[in-house]
Amino acid sequence: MKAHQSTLLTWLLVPAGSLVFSLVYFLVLMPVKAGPGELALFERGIGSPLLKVLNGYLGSFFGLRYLGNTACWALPGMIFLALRWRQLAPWERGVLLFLTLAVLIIGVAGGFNYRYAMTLLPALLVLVFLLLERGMAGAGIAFGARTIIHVSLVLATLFNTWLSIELSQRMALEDPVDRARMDDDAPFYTKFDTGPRNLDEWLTASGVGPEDTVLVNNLPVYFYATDRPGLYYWCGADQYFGPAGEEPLFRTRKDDGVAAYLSGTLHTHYIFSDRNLSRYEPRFERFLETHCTLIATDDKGRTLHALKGTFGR
Amino acid sequence: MDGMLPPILVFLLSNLLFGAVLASFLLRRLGSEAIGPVGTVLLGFGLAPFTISWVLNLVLLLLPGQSHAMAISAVLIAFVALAVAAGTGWRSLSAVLRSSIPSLARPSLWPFLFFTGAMLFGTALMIAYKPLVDHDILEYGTQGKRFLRDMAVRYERHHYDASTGFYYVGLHGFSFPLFFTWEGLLRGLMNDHGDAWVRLQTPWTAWLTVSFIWAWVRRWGHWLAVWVAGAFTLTLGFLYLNTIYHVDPVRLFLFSASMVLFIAVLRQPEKQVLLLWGAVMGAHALTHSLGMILSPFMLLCFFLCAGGSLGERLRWSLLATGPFLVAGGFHYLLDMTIGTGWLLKDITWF
Repeated sequence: MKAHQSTLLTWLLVPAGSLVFSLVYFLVLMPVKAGPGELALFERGIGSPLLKVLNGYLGSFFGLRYLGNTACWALPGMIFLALRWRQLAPWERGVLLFLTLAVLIIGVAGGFNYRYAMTLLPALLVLVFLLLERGMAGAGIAFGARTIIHVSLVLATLFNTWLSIELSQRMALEDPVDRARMDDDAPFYTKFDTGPRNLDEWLTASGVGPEDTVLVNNLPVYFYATDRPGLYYWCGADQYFGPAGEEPLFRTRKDDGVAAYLSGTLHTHYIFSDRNLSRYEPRFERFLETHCTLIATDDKGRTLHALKGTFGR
Repeated sequence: MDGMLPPILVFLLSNLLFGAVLASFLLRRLGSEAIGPVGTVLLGFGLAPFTISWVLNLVLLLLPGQSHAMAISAVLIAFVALAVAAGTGWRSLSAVLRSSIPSLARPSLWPFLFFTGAMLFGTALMIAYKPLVDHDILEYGTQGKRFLRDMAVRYERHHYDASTGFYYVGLHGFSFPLFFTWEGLLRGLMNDHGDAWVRLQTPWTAWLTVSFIWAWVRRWGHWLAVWVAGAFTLTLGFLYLNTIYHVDPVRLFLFSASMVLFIAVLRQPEKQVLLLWGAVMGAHALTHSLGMILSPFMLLCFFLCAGGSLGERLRWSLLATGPFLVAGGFHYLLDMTIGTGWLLKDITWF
């Protein structure tokens, strides 16, 4: 009886380990504020070498912010299985080999994006729970006790999610743009709608004619919701997407040259952006201040600028 | 017509009726052994929107400039043919559905009923209060509307729309943008427009994904399935999977289905299952580049680890590769040769 109790306590270390890892991850490792010029890395949770490994290369296991704290046990599980390669059935070898390759591919190519890392989450969770179930059953743990371990893991996931939401709130409070949304007392379901109110009317009311071309900073809603002409641009990577593919606007020009190129060659005098997106490139944000005039802003943070000198503005 | 009726009609046709057609077809061709009867039915429902987009892709690529009626007819003809080919599969579908209902009374399925109720509640909130505002899906949507306007799918160096200045930066297959085209086609018949049906695909496919995994894991233990589903659905990532309109739930469903079929063919490499496995990998590829990247490795692992002689394994692998290429791999072959270049071009990774 005592032997069984001590074995059960050993297995309880699994959910306990999940809890401890979550506490360390959210309260110690994850920063709440981006350093200057590193907003993109911060947003992806890869702002330090350690986080780049945890949330990036090994994101399928350790991306606790979005994937919970159970999949991390798949790593020791897979190592355990690899060490027993000869005892595995052919189908188990196939699955283990593929999961290993998939983790490596996703980790190298896109683990920093939790969406890609999430691809393997169901498979890794099945692996963890099956290994645990087999391990505990093999150790003679009764069904009721095994259930306690499984339920503890699920509850640890819930705790992890609470910590993750709490981290998001702390991050938002440190952010000047997100803070305003946090302080807004409107019902939660109204916050689902982050789109501009009737974009076409808003542009017209702001003085943009139906034939005026607008430089659009990574807001595809402009093309989706209106039939107006635009120029697709992303300031974060300084990419303007034209008929011949992408080209930089800022990297090869001084600010005065950019203004001249926009009005003279691309025939645009307006820039449609979002306060949150403009921050991704300090030079673009500064350009909006020094070479443009803010002519409209909406309650969701969208901005419309006109190049200085446009129609006497 | 206004309000929710048109998208609900599109859902009833495209997801439920066409889903039932595919489920019956799969039950007839596949039987219910490989991935279980409920899993087979759910796979049919999950593959229906993809199948619509695949037919549309073909029509708009091979016969550009056709009328809306012609494109809709092509899809209807494809599903009528599948419905006829399903034959006795309809009886099997009816039997699976009838036998599933009493089992819902089991305590181990009460969490599933609760989950389904929560998803319904969340979906109602989302559809009512959240328009299409998320970045990536707006790009898919704009490209899908362009397909609808031009009634053509083109492979070109730059997906640049000279009339609006929109540049489609996506490098994935066209399946998901074609969902918008399909909704536009059907709602156009009702003198209506909008995107509620495509928005519905996010929670619907997320529900299907969880249900599919749930049904599959139950073979190892009814309660074990509950714990797996719990650890998956209680993550912040799953919450976002539901509340951010995106291709991800569709991608996740198709990847999960290809994983389950991968295990099935590793254990028992039957011809019909191999063909379906290839087709589902292709569906994943036509939906997202990750499917095109991961699927060849899945095929390689099958070739290396399946039982049987070298010749048998080679034959089985080729048997799956064929439908993979037809269902989705073709897109990347075309895109690499006469299109954008896919990953072979200089890419800025985000």
